[in-house]
This record gives sequence, C-alpha cells and structure tokens, in this order.
Amino acid sequence: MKPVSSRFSPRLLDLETLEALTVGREAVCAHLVDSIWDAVSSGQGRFDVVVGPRGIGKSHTFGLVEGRLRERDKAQQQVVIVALPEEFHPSSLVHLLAKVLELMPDEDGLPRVASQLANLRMGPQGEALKTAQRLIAGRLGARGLLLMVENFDAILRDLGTKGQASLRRLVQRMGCWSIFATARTTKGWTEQTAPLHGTFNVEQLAPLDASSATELIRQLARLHGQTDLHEWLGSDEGRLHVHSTYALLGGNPRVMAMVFHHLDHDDPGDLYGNFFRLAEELTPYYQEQMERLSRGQRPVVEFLAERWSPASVTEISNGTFCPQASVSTHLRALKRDHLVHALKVGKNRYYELSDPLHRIARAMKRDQQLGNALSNMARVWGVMARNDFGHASLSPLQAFHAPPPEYIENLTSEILRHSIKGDDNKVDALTDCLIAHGQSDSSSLHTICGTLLLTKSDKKAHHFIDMQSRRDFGVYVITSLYLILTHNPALRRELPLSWPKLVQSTDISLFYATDELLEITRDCIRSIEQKGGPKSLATLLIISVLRDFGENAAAQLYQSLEHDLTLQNQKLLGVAAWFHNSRLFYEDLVAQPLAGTDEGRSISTLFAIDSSSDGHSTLSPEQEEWSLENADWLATLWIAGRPTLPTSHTFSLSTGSEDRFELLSGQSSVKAFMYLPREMRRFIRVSLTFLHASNLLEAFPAEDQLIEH
Amino acid sequence: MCSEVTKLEIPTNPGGSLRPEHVLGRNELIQRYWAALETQSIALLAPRRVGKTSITKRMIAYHPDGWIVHSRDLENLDSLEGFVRALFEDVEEHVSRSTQVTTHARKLLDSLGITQLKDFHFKPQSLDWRRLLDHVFKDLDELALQRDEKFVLFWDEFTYFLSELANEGREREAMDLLDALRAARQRYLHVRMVLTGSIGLPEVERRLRAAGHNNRALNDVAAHIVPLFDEANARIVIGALFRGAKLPASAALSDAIYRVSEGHPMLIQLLIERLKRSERPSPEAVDTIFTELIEPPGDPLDLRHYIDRLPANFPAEQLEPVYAVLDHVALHPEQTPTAMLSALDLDRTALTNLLRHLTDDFYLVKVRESRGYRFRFGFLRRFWIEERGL
Repeated sequence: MKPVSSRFSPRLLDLETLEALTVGREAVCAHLVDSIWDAVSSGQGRFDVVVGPRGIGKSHTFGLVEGRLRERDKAQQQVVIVALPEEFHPSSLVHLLAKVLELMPDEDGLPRVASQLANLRMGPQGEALKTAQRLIAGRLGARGLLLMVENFDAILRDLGTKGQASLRRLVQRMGCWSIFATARTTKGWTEQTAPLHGTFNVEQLAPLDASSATELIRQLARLHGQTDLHEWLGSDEGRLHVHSTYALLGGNPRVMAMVFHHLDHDDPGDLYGNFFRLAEELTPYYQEQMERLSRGQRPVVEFLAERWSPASVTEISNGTFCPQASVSTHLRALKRDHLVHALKVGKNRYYELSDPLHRIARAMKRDQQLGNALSNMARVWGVMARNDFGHASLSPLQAFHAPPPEYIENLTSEILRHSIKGDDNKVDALTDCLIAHGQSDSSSLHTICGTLLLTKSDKKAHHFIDMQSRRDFGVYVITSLYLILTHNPALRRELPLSWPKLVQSTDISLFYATDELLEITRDCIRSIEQKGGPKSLATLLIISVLRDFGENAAAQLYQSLEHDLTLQNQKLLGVAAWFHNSRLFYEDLVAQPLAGTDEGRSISTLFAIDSSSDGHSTLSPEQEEWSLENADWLATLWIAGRPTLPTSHTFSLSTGSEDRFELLSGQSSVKAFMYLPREMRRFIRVSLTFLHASNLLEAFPAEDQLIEH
Repeated sequence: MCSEVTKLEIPTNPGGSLRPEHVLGRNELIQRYWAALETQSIALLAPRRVGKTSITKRMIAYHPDGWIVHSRDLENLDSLEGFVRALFEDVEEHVSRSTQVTTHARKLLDSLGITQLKDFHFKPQSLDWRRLLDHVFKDLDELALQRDEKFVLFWDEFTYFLSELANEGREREAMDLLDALRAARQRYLHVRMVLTGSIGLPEVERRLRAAGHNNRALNDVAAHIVPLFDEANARIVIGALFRGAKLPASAALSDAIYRVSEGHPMLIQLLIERLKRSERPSPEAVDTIFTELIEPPGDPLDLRHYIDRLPANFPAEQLEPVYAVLDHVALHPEQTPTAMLSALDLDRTALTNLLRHLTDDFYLVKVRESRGYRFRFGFLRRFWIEERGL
C-alpha cells in the first residue's frame, strides 16, 4: 500500500500526494521549477540550494520540485534527472560521479550502465575522474544533467575543500550540468574563501504561518480519510487548537505533521495529551541526539534543556563546571549545527536551544504540572494571536478573525446557558471559541470572562476558573485579567443586567478590592515565576492597571504584589508612572524603593520638569545639576514620554531620534527580558501590544531581531 | 568571433554556468585582451563573481583565428610538482593530438628513465622540473610555429595557487615557478599566458617579497583589472535578462538596476532573479531587494569577508591604521592622500603604502580625475559604514 504521508521521507510519496500536502510553499516551488527549467532548457548549468533546519520542509520541496521537473521533461527529454539517495556519503568526487552514473537510466543504443561502472572500477585510478566524467557526458549526449542532492552540506564536508573545488571546476567545464540541493546550512561552503562561493542560489525556507500550519493538518486529516477530524479542524475549536499548538511549537511542518499523528481523534482538543504523546515519541530521538554530541557539548545542551531561560556563557560555565573558553567553543559548534541559537543584545549573547520541542519533551516527561501549564498557556497564546502570533508588528486586537455579530451573540448565550446548567466542559470549549473571536466583539468576551472571574458566588463560574488550572498555573486567569483590564470602558455599560453583582461594581477599581481576586492574581504570578516565567509579569499588570484604571486601582494591586517586585521591576514601574503621568502613584509607592538610584533621581527630575511651566523653575539645585549631567538621556526619555509637548526645556535635545529609546533598550528591563525563554518573550510582546505601550514594545526586540544568524 | 546579440533572451541564473553565447556586454573588453595578447601575456584580475571565468569562457569559445587555446583551473593544485605534471599532461594531450612525433618533454622523461608521469618526483631545488617545463613550452612553441599560430594557456586562479604555496611556507617554490615561467615567456615567443585570479598580482608579489624574494617575475605580464559593466553594456545584459525573465522592458527599472548594482554582473543577475518574483516590479522594489541582498548574514557577495580577511592580509601592527584609512575613505571619498594626512595619525610613506595595498586588494580604487581614493564598490562603502557604525 502506498504511503499517505511521511514525516521523515516525503520523497517516498507520489507527486499527487506531495502536491496535496504542499501548503505555504507554492510560490517558492513554482519559482524553483521555472528557474531550473529555463536554465537547463537553454543549455545553462544552474545551482540552487534550499536551506533550513530539520523538519522545515526541505525534503518535501525537494520531492515536489523533482516530480514537477520530471513531469515537465517527459515531453521534451531535455535533461536527465539524477536524484541521489538521501543518505549518501561519497569518499571522493569520483565516488560521487560513480553514483551519478549508477543512477542514470539504461537506454537503447547506449552501453549498459553496469558495464560502464565495472570499467570505471577496473580502470586506472588516476584516470577515474576523467573517465567518470566522460562516461556521464557520453550518456547525456546533447541533454543536460540535473543532479538532485539532499544534505548537500554533509556531502560537501565529505568532499573537503579540494573536492569542492574539483566539483566547481567540473560543473563549470561541463556547462549544462545543474545541481538542485537541500542543506541545513550554507555555513562553511558559501563564504568568499570557499570554492563554491556565489555559485548557488540560496532559498531559505521559513516556518509556516499559522494558517498554513492549520491547513497542513487539515490536509493530513483528509488524506488519511479522517472525515470527522477534518471537519473538526475546520471548526473554530479545531482552528484554535492548532493555533495554540502553533503558538508554542512554531511553524515547523514536520512538527505539525507529528502533532497530527498524535491527535487523539476521539478527543482532539486535548492539547496536553497531544504534547505528552509528542514528547513520548521524541524522547528517544533527543536521547540519540544527545549521544551524537561530543562529550563536552552534552552538558551544555543538557543545561540549556533544563533551563527555561536563555543563558550567558558565564552562566553555562558556572552551571556545567566547564571553563568559559571551552563552553564558547562548544556553543560555536552547536550553533553551527543549528542546535543552539544565540540571542544578541548589544555585545552580549544569550544562548538557548533552537528546538523548543527538546525542552518541552523533557519537561513533559518530568513534570505533569508543567505540562498542563504549557498546554494552558499555549491555548491562551493561540487565542491572543490567532492569525499573527509572534510577528513583530503583532496587533492581536486587530488581527483576530471576525465572524458575524450574530454568531458571537449566539455563542455568548450558549456559554451562559451551559454555565448555568453546569456543563463545564461545554463552557470551556465554547469559551475558547469565543476568546478566539474576542477581537470582533470583545464586549461579549469580557462579559463572560469578567463575569466568571468576579461573580465568585456563582459556583459554576468559579468552577470554570478552577478548571483552568488557577492554582497550577495562572496564565489563563492572568490573561483574562489582561483582557478585562485593557478593555475599553464600554464594558461596564454592556454588562448584562442578569448579572447584578457585576453591575453593582460600577467602579472598576472595586475589582481589586476583592481580596480573593488579588490573592488569585498574586498566586498566579508567583506560580508563573516559580515555573520560570517572566519576572516582570506583575509589573506589566500594574502598568496596565495604571494606564487604564488609574492610580487608585494600580496602587491596590501594587500593594498586593509589592513583596514580589524586584528593584528592576520598581524601576520599570517608576518609568511607567512617569510615562502615564501618575505622579501620585510614583511618589506614594515607587519613589521610596528607588531612593538613591539613578532612575529615582531621573524620574523625580522628570516629574519636576513636568510640573514647571517653563521646564526649569521648580527643579531643586540637586535636580538641576542632575538634569544637566544627564541631559542626553533625560531628553531621550522626554521625547519618548512627552512627544506632543514643546521641546523648549533646559536640557539639550540634541539626541537623535534613533537614540530615543536608549534608556529602555540599554537598561536592565531588556536584560531581564533576555533572560526569559522564547515563549515568555513572545508573551511579553503580546502583553505590551495589549497595553498599547508601543514605546516599551520597541525596547524589547522582536525574535527575528534577537536571533543572531 | 561571435557578435553581440542584443535581442537575445537569457534566463536569470546567478552564479550559474553561462553558455559562452550568453556572456554579453564583454565584447569590447575581450577584443582589448586579444589585442594585448598579440604582444605579451596578460593577467585578468578581479574580486570573485565579477565575471572573469565567463569572460575567459567566451574568449576560448570564440577565439580569433590564429590562436590555439587551452585552459586549466589551478585552484585544486597545491604543489609545484602538481603544476608541472598538470601542464605536461595538458600539453602532451594537445601536441600528440596534432603531431605523431614524440614530444621533447616525453623524450626528456625517457632520458630520465621515467615511463609514467606519476613516477616523476623531484625536489623543488632540482633542475629536472625546470628542464621539463622548458621542454613543454618548447613543444608548444614548435606546435604553434608549425601551424603558424600562437598558443595561449588560460590558467584560472593562478594567483590563488601561488598564494596557497606562499601560505604553506613554500614561497621559494612559488618564486622558482614564476622565474621559470618568465624564462619560458621570454624564450618561446609563440606562447602566451592568460593568468586569472581573485587575488591581485601585487598582493602575491608582496607576500613573496615578505619572504625575501624580490624578483619582479611578473613584470612582463600586463595586469588588467576586470571592470564591472559600463552603463551601455549593463543595459545590454539587463535587457536580455529582462526578456528571459518575461519582465516588461522598462527604462525606469533598468535605470534602477544599473544604479544600485553599479554594473556588478552578479548583482544584476540577483536583482532581476528576485524582481521576477516580486508582485510589483518597480524601482522601489529594486532598492528593497538590493538592501536585502547585501545584508549579512546570507548576503551572496559575503561582504563581511572584506572585514574578516584584513587580519590575514595585514600584520597585526598595521591593522588599526588600515581600519582608520578605510573608515576615513568611507566617510570622505575621493580625498587625496595629502588631505588624508591631516586627519590620520600616519606619515606619508605609511599612508601611501597602505593605500597601495588596499587598492591591490580590491578595497579601494584611485580616481584619476580627483587623484583621491574611494571604495571600489559603492555598496561596499555603504556596508563598511554600516558595519563599522560610522
């Protein structure tokens, strides 16, 4: 029986199946096929390589391009296509050419390939290269040769520099020999000093976007005859499920295919179960990968796999008891092999595993609680950025899918109905759908979330919160809080009259007078921190309250969370207080912990400047001196925080606009950011987007800016 | 010789093997090279991917009457012995194809009791290899004379081969070879050489001089720096690639491509290759594509190499002055050395030497009109400014 899909060897599939499973790669495949065909049919030699990490779809692209070119050549017979086996390690260029010869078809009027190979083997060794080349050219006649090679970088390593130079010379001399290849990296063979520099057109395959990832899983369901699953994946719930998975795992097509194979078809929405089964399958793979590493590399990878936070060389060195110089050497090699990537901030580098699954697989095996937390978190992220997760210009509030208003109304009614009935599973599933559509009608979403959170006398609602792992991992709750807190004031007006407790809470700040809610919030944040979550989550929450609900509400939250705030958090809060014109909040709460720090002096000075009519008169001598000494970055902050005010202040505004965020990007908040794992960094960025804190957002680099290639 | 075909459609193929008839925009240049070869051997030098190989390919395919041509890439050779053997093999193949007589070189080997070339081993200081080399050229010269033609040997990556010898501490062998080749050029007047390389001859000579070899063994070879396309020829190439890519002929697009590529053949190919994938090919799209193309990492020209190779090409104590000179030229193009002196902490001799070295190494070029220096490529200057944070 022919295979319907293959996660590791897509080349085994027929062209029709490959075509059906081609998602998000149509443009690149069409370009490659057309360009290669144009070159070979005009007698030129062309060289293309598709590059990307493991599982990104190189083999699939390879198989598809091969299939389409063979189809195209059927009528015209202009080229002989020879595809090397995926696993092939030539000892020399002669060996490579002998394999090419071996794979050429026997044709009428030409000597048998087997006999030519025998002659080649028995001929003089010094002549073998010329002979092989002559034999291949003889079989080609006027046709071109298209050599298709997977893992080309490994083959080039086997050939060595001289072999590469010979290969280049050979293809240049033959003129109409082309190569289409895949490789995990171009490093080491495309630099100016390498023989093949500038020869190959490099096509980098990017991860799939969320929609393509969903489509891929749907196509898999269709090809496997899973009609119900196919339909479910097309539903809101199904899409949410895939988006959630995507948010955590990224858009690697092989991972997505694995996710499909681990979907429990009776309970496809069981995200935790998916991850667990995936981890089960991958564990031997990662164990084997560890075995293949050198003795010195293993502890480094292990350290990073256990740590939910990127680490500097010093930290890795301390953690592994290995000298820094050796750690650097190991990291360079691991980076070259795409096992680790470096995040770059200024001159500093932080390292983390490139493959999130490696860490997740370890975590799932070890800690069910963490596994649950991850799946919950993924679900929330999937909701928050359904269409555009992780993108630098992410704007979840605009990006959400917009269904018809009546659909949302019906869904809302359904949730409330099931909630009253006590059907918590249904409430859970439908709420997820509603959250996914929250963008289009956020009042409904917030009505539900807010209601469920705040009407603690309602057992069903309370149970719903419990079910969302409040005590295990409070991301869902926190996210719900975000959704409430960042919502527009229309929330209060639109609350349904059938929920009197909420309606009575006309002052939103009363939300925080609810001790239990404050307690929940604090527990959640602590839980997140203990699990390696962002240390500044509490800070971000306070900032959002400060901005949207004023100083009183923020002060209550601050007092509840104060013990969890570090000095760095306080500094960020101080800056935020100034940004949001919350002098009272600053002076009553944050000024004291910041007393004596540079930030404290600066923020006090900025507030003093704010309150002066000419920007000068109310400054104390100490502040005046401080502002003169620190004119540049006070100006920077000023420009960022008071963009609409005239710039006629005492300090110099000579700082260019590109330095505007120097303070934020150069200080500890970003360093703290760098210490978060990738998932958390995304979370922060999403949160800041919700806060409309575009100035802060700019200070936290997006992933594509962080990763050093 | 094949004439320039201005209506040709050529598929874009950056870095690929072009057919000789697809090598456009180089006819005048090639004619100049053949004219130069009438009187002396030449060297064609340029950074990688400027089109040296394509030019020689076209020269070989459409060589004028009266020439016998042979080419060999020397990049994979790593010894004097290897070079001599390769030359012997190449020439014997040619000569024995044309005449049935035993070659002088073969006779020499016979007299040394060597029946197979693989048994011919020698020490660099021995005279045997010089005699063999001399006999090989004698064979070539006689063949050419007999046919009333001239023989031209195209040696690709000749300078790379020499620099590799020097890098391995075998400068003596490199120098001996250069001396032997010069002697052959002077003695056998029907033989010419076309030496190509992405490392400049002065750079090779400098390395040899640094090892104490002061012979000017290449001063009879006319060095030509292969230029980028001028505007007229760039437009011929761009037009043919546009037709091949089925892009509409557009003067604005063509202008933009010439402007940003500065006539660099590889960049022209890359720009049009990407442009044909663009939903709206426009001059603005050309600018965007160009910015992406020269942005490391992954830039096809590997511009970072211009920074990375400096420590290998200059002694440690010269590095800071080199960076200072390049920084200065990047910010103040076309300044004369005299004007530079006031801004740099260097004496005139040191500055002149550095400028010459940087010119030989394809970083800078001297502008005849202003007598000042600028970066050889405008895009390299922009890259330098960006990378150095100037």
